Amino acid sequence: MSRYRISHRTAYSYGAPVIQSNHLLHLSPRVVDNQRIVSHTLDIEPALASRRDRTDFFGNPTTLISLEREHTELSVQSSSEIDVTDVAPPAFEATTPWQGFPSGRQALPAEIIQFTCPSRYASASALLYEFARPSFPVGMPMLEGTRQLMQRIFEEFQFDNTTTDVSTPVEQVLQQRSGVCQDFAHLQIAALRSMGLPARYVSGYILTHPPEGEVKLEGSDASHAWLSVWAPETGWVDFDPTNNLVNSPEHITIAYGRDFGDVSPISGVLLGGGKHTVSVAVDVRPSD
Amino acid sequence: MNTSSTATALPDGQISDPLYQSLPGIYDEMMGRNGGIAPAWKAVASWFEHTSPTVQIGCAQKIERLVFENFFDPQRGRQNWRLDLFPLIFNAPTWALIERAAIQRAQLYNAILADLYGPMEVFSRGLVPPALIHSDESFLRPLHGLTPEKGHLTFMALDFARDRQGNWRIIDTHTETPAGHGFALANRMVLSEVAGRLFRRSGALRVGPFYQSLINDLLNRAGGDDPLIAVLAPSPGDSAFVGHSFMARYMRQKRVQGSDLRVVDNRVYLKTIDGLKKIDLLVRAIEGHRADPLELAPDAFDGPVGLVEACRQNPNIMVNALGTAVVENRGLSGFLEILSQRFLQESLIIPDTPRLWLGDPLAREQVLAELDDHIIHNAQEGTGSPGEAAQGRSAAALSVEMRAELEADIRFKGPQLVAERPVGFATAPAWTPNGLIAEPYALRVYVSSIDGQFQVMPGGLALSVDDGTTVALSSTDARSRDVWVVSDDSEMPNISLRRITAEHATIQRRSAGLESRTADNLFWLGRYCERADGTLRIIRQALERSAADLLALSTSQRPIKALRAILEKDETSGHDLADVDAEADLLWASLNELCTSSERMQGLPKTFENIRNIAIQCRDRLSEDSWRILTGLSAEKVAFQLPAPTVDKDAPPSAAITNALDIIEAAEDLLDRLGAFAGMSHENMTRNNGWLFMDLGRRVERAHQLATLLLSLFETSEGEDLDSDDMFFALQTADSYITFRSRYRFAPELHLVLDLLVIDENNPRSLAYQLARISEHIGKLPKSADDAMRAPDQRLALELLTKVRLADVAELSEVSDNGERETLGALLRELIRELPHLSELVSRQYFSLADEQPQRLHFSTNR
Repeated sequence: MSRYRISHRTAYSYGAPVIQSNHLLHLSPRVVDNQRIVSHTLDIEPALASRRDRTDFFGNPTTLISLEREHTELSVQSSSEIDVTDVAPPAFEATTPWQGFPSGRQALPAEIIQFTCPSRYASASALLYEFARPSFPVGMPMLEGTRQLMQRIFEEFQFDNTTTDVSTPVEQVLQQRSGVCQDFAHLQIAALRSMGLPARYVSGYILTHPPEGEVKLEGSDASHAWLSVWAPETGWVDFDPTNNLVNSPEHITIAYGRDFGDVSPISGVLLGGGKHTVSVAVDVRPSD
Repeated sequence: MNTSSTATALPDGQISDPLYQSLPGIYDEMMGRNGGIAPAWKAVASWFEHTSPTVQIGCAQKIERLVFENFFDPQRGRQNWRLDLFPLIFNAPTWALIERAAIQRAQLYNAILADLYGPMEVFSRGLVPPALIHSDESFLRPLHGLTPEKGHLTFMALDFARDRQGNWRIIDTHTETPAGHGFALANRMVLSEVAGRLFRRSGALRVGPFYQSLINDLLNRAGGDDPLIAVLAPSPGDSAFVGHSFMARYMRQKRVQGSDLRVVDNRVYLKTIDGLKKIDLLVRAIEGHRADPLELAPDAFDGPVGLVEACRQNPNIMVNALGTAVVENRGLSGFLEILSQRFLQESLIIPDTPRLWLGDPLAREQVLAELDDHIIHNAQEGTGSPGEAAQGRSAAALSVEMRAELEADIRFKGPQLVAERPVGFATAPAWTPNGLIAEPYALRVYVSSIDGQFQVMPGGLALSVDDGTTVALSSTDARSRDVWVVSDDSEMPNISLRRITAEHATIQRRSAGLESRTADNLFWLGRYCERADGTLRIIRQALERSAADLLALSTSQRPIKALRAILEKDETSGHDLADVDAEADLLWASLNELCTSSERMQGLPKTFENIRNIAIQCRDRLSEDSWRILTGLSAEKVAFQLPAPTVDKDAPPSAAITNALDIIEAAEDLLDRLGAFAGMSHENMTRNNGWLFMDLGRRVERAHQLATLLLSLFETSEGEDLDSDDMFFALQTADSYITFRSRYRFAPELHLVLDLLVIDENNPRSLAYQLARISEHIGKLPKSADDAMRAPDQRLALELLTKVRLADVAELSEVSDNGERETLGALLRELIRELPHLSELVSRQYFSLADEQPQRLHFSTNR
């Protein structure tokens, strides 16, 4: 088991006064099987007109905040301490052959079926089916195919945070062969949905390691995204195509949904505000 | 069912074969199966029999005109709604069946919605495949757990059709918005106007009482003594706009759009010139997934930010509740029987048309194998507007590439598609100038929850459909029919909505609280109308002079200067007129710019476009006549007469003069129309805040125009002869020549002209008069209570008025050594500078709330 202390600070600065702003936060960690939340706080400045904590359709804690006084800055500080238990890698080869999956779909619970369905950022298509198919020859166990597909994305795609933004469609990521973790997760989710398999988007953090001999810089981590795939034999298994990792103990889950749109850490709408700048500082540290 | 067995010819035996032939073997609504005219149709058939074709054509043309006035959407520039002279008629037993089936559906859909947004037993009990609902983007997850007291549905509509044998089926369901109510209402109003007596003779039921009880029920739900109800509709660019605004006007409720609303502390408010007013009930006419950019579609602003949470806190604030579109899903068709058994413990009275949901692998294989026999439709149809359903894809008619694309869609997007087999449609008579013809039709029926019970509107909307290739109401140039329900009871209450509301005047919506957006619109409507008026007057005057005297053009540059002065107000660039040297050319070039350039803010095309757009937005505040005038304004007639910008230098002057006379005529026609509108608003509009804002706009614009004109004409003196010429020009342009002549019998002198046009507060065209009205109007507008000091707009208005009042005409007319009238110049320049400032102050004070456009904050990106 490892314990992590996580600090995630987001600061907005606006060019003109904001008259009213509303934000939807997915920053509080959810309960998952291998995680225990030791502590969590959310500090927001300036003072809020209202704050409401609720649980969304997928079981994630969310917070709705609104500011109704003029403001030119907003900062959201999320601090958590979380225990993560190691999960052994699944028996990839022992899972259901992928073609066998869809026919049994009707009998599966809606909580799983929903993740085979199209969503705003990750929908099945013939193109994505063609992309995924080489990893799924006839009879291939579904999680072994998923692992191979993850490995291909890891090897064939460039990490590049200048070529995409939140609205980049996966077809474009597929064509340009580059993107960020969010794009790789969406790509693999959409590809798996094209094969008829259930895949969900996971938002969270990853422990990063400084280069050999250097000291880790404060705030140099970032929020991260990967995916989770369900097989009858194993339940949900995490795959990280950005780092080629399965069920890693250095991944901390915050929320999951069909895609980024369901679990965006902070999204908001402003009245006024002009141009704005945002700075994000994430720090993930093992705590002893 | 229709009683075809009792169908007989009229006593005089004149209704016979030549009147109408239904198609062999196809059920017809008027003729039934056996070919005799059904009793319910007799009055109408007899009218047709005994009315001359000329009268019938006259009626059809009147319908066309009325439909045009009611449905034409200038914003979209098309009008393809057509209404048949012949209604579609149902007798009481047939209608009773439709009613029972429609009410059963409404109850069933309400139960399904309560389950989907609640315990979701339809999944755990295996009644509905989860992928069907979860693939539908109109299933709104953030609304899960929301349970309105009176159920999710208040409004819904169903599309019924008979097959060729006469058996009923339901071909579509509309649970999202009251789409189509407006069209049904407008059809009824148009047809009653043309065939009102026939309607009464037929014993057809009125729809007024239905809507009255609906409105009363909405008022009860909203609660309180004087509840504020608003119809939340899309903005004018949307195709559903015309229908929704008609419905709102008919129901006498405010139509608002997302930007008119603000959610504060989880309550919904309307932005008005008095500040925020709490809304008690919203009638939702926008698509649910576009209702809140914070929790629903992030790029859609049809509703105010925070609306979802406001609904969670108060689930009864909105009808229909958010998320109701999901049960429209056509994929549900095959599961409805079992759902009806489960939720209502009864069988469906009328089933859906046979459909396969292509999320089912077996259905998918079957359809791919027999693709040519099927029409593929989206399971979820976005729009509920009648006639706007997307055409299905019929494999038999597709190219090789499109067929491959269809096959790929079936494989990969199957859960979002359904396959249907065309089963054909029954027919009903449609009127043509050459007689009645049998046309396939479908029927839209409206259901509303009133006092806790679902009730069916006794009437509806029928559309002709394209038999064989369609299953839904998708025909884009459909001919619609009004639907008459003929009761056996001949003593039907003869009540129209108009009468009832008069009797219950106390429950009228409150008139206080002018929306900021409307105030803004009316202010600018006043300004634009006045702008067009001023510009046309100068054009007329400039040309009258040239027409009256061939040489006049060269005697004074002033008319040109006056035109150029208008053009120079614009910061936008049009044609550069600097290199036009000949004066006649300059006149034509300036006119051309004003009449044809669509970029110039001061030009006529842009001004008229602005007027039209505002008229559409404020339609509920304009009389029919005003609406007709404003949407009919166009600079084309003026521009049409203009010679090409580069005038043929050798052309005889007479050609230009003929043109000038034609242009004057066209300009006068426009001036008459603007004058008619001004007169109407002056006579007919209540002197409420709306009128104040419009008149304020007029006054600001008129003062600005007059100041600009006087400055261009008189700042520089060019000798007495020319000045006197220009004085005529000014007096005539400012419509004050007659007044001047009645006071002074001699040739104009400048100080007298300036007295009349600048200082005389009794002359409604003078600067002082405009400023006095402005100051008076601003004084009447609501001010916030804590505003003890005079508001800045009020102070500025008073300051400008005082300056003009204190001006001395002798000083104003004085010419200094350099040939300039410095005092006059200074005064006019100050007005020209400060009036826009005043306009801005008014905007900031009263419209600023309307201007706010929410912006979406960028997501924080992951690494």
